[in-house]
Amino acid sequence: MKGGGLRSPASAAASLVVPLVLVGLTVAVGASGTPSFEDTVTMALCNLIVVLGLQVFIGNSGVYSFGQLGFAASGAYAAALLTIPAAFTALQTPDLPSLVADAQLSPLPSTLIAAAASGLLAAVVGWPLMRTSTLAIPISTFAFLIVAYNVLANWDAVTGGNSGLVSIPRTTGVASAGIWAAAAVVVALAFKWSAAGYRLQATREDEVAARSIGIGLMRERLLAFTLSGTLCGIGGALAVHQSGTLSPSTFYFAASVTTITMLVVGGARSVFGAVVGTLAVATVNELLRNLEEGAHVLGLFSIGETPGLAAIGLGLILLVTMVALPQGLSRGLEAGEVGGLRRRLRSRALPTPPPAETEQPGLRPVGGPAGGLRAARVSLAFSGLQVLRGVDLELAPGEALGLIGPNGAGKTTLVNVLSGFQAPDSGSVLLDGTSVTGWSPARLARAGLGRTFQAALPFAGLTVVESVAVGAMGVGVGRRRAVGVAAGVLERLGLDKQAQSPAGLRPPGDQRLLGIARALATGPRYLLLDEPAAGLNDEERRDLVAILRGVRQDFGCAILLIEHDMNVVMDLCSRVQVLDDGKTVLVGAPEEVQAHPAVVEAYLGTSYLEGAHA
Amino acid sequence: MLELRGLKVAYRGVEVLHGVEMSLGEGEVVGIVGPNGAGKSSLLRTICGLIRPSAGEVSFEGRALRGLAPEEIARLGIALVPEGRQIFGTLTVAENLRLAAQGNGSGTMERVLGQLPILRQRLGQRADRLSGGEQQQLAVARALLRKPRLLILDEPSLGLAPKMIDVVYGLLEELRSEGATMLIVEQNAARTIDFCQRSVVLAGGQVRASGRREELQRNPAVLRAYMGRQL
Amino acid sequence: MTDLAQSLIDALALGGLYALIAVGVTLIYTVMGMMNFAQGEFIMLPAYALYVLAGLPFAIAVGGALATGVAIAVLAERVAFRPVRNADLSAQLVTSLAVATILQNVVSASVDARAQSVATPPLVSESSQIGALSVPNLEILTLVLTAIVLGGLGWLLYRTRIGLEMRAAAENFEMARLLGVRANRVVAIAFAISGVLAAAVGVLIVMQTGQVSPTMGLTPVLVGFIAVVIGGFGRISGAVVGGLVLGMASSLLGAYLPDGLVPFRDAIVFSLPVAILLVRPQGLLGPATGEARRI
Repeated sequence: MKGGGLRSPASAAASLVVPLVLVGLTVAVGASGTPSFEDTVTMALCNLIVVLGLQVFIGNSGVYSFGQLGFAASGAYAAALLTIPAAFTALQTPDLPSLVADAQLSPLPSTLIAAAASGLLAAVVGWPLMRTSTLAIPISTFAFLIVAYNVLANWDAVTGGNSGLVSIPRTTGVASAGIWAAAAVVVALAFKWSAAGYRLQATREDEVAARSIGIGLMRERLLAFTLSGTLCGIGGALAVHQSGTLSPSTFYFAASVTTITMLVVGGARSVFGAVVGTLAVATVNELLRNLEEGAHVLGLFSIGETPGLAAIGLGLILLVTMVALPQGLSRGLEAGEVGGLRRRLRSRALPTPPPAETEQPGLRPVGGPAGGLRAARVSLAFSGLQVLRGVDLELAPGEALGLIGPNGAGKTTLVNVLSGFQAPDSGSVLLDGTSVTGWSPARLARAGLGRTFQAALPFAGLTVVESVAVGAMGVGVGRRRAVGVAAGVLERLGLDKQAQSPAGLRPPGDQRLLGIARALATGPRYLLLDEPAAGLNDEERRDLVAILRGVRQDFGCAILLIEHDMNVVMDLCSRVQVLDDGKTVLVGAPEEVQAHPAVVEAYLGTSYLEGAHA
Repeated sequence: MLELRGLKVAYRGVEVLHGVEMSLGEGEVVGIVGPNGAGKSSLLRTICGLIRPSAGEVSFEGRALRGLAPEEIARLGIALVPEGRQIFGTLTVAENLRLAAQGNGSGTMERVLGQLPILRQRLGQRADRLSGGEQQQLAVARALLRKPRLLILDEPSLGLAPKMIDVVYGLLEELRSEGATMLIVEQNAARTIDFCQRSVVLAGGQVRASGRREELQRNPAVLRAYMGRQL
Repeated sequence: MTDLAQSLIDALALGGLYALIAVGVTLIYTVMGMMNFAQGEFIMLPAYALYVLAGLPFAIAVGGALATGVAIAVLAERVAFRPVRNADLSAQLVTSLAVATILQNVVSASVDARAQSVATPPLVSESSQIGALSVPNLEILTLVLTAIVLGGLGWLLYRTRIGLEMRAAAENFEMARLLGVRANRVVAIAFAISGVLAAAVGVLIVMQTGQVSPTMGLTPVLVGFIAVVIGGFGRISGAVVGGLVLGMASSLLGAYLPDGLVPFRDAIVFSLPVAILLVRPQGLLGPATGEARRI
């Protein structure tokens, strides 16, 4: 679990230990105070578990869910109903099935059952919600929260309705809350550093690039959503066993805002941030609560009774954080990464990777033996324009084919069709003999087709080695092996010295190469490169050509290269296909194509060859 | 009138202009040609304030444009006819024109409609019903209605049938004879070099060649910029 | 038959109310790309203005409410939303959440956390006879107001300069700026109009329930969001349709649901949109192809 090559053992240990120490300190502080103070600290630890639940989903996916407290509520109600003595259950919730009503479990089993119930609910609710678009998820989860509240508040006979439940055994102490919180920290960190966690983070960084390396958006989000719901359910169960009472409004809007504030203030992307944020906001909240009764500030002036001061204060803190410090106190970094930023930026050799990866990951031959990538009579129109008119293209295994043509000729659109990002109106795409027309980009990636984009689309929040390793993880390779694959690819491309530095801070030429490295990590048999040399200066372009030459030999994949830079095309490709106005103009050897009058005319608009060979 | 000094521009994290120097005097018609990916569009977008340069300066009539909002730059007298026309499809032709006219008086509107009679026929239609060529005319009309000091056109012939291109360039010819200052970016080098007094060849984010019309016509340097060094 | 007609008018009135909310949310979405959580507070604060101004003639109190709506919307834009205008969607969403919670709690702290009664003119709670139907005056008022507001909005958008600028900015913000349209002005005006719409909704809700409470904006804002989503993001016509559909469904369910399920009416209504989204992710009136891909 401890990083396995993606970070140094020291960094991993620090990232794990520091939050645990903070939790431990919190427990110690809580235990040493008055009983009511201990209750407050215990509640803060329960909040922490919920916030960690939020972090697992929101931090890793970058998508805000406003419904997670609905799962805390379900966990709380489940745990409460299972532990309230039978006599009281009969009074408060007459219609409850006797299996639950008569049950009077001890805290641990009830928490576990509550966790399972919340997890199951999250999976069921999440399935339709995660299928909606990224934009709609915050709204649909908000709707879930309100629906949950509604059901809890109105189903009097089962949940006690608006008056809620009382006589819940108060079994959560600061120590047990601390243990569960520590466990939640470990789980959240383990998830973040797992292959599934990385795949989800890739979707946060760039949805399009993530799909191109085999990652299914909905699947990864649902997994995190379920885990998140489980953790929130645990937090709710423990909280209700601390306070002894429960009502639908306990886990509703105010609590949602509080926990989201804790997450945002700390920094949503990191577990350390979740811990720091929770403790900081809980402390401020307590201070403000005390002020609500009225107080003398610094002996200078007094504030009268102001109920609601804490909530206003929290809202202001959230607002200021969003405007001034959107990444939160932790800047999105784990404990082992903070302060070491300067160290990371200096060239850092990779930790020794496992023995060199010679086999290609993700090779799952489709159809018979390698038969090439083919487009057959592909046509596509959009926005009223006919962009592709019956184009044929053939990329044989291991060859390098250049695709050139003036702006608007349809080159990128053709690559989009080949890689599944757009479906053709007519015609078909075949991969090794099998028809793959209409396959999703992720599915094609897993079948051996990789691509890059005109914009580098880096995973800016991940390190260089993480960005590349996630390419292998996207096609189903386990984390350990993925790191080995990444190490090999980075070395071949000359990027290994910067393995630990954040991808977003690399210069543009490196980011270009990173995109190629990431695609290579998926083990493609066919690699489609969209203008890899665009925006590079002369020196960077020379380096790129050298690298691409090596790539074909070392990785054994065929390359389709869209380029405007003729020098690159001539140097690399054995065949060149010229596209103009959606149709193929010419296919042939580079020299032949370069000098062909029709091609020159397509680009420059008139015969520039007359008198130019002087 | 327009000066670019040491301009470096990054777009989506990639540096696309590696230090461009250029100048344009009043009444001049200058072309910028080069293969796609050369940074031509980024250059224009930087002048208009849509992209912040990472280094270097853009100045218009002695005034530094850096840090100004696009609408402020537009009000200084720079009008852009963008790539892909970008007319407001859900608005009618008349509304597109009205938006640009901004109280410049009906005289200007009459003149422009006179130069582009087809628009007069289509005034009540939704702009997305127009053909490509008509949309291009609308985009140019929109720019003209602003009575600009500097007219910038980004790939005006893109996606147009040859006949339509003739119409558009005919209009540009009229404007040129009226003394308009224009900057034209095109991928189609031949037409632009023929049309403009002076052209600049941009490739790989840098100026590769520049010169007057006669110098550039059929110049191997231009060919090389497009078709590679082997030629 | 009259029962059905009665129910339909009830449904239409609620649909109109929801449409007003949805249009307010959409206006801000079109110029900022942000779903505004604080819209509920843009509804709640003008309602409290009615409460505070209770002694004055009703017409003046309503005027005060409308002014409050405009003021709070424009202020929120200037102070809280402008700094995050270029941030990503999540950041804007959470910012609006912060604004919402601050406003809610300020009211809670300065007035009371509990609901307060507001006296409304007796005319409002009476009904009028229209043919064979007895229609509550409030519903007539809602329908009339909705028609006036939507009509006024239509006039503003299609017959004025600023409306033209707003429509252009909604379609292509960048291009509008290149033509000299002032971004700040367009955004501020969109917020101001949205504030007026929200204030009208707040006044109508007070007249219906006779109460104000700090959390009264929560359900309306959710309604607004859902209406916008099912109507298809970013189109005013979609918002109107979404609001009408949601309102009518809610009202009809309330009228015809079996007794045992009535308390769960809201739960059912708010679950329906998810079903719509699953079948048609771009909403009922959304464009056939998704948002442009930036590949």
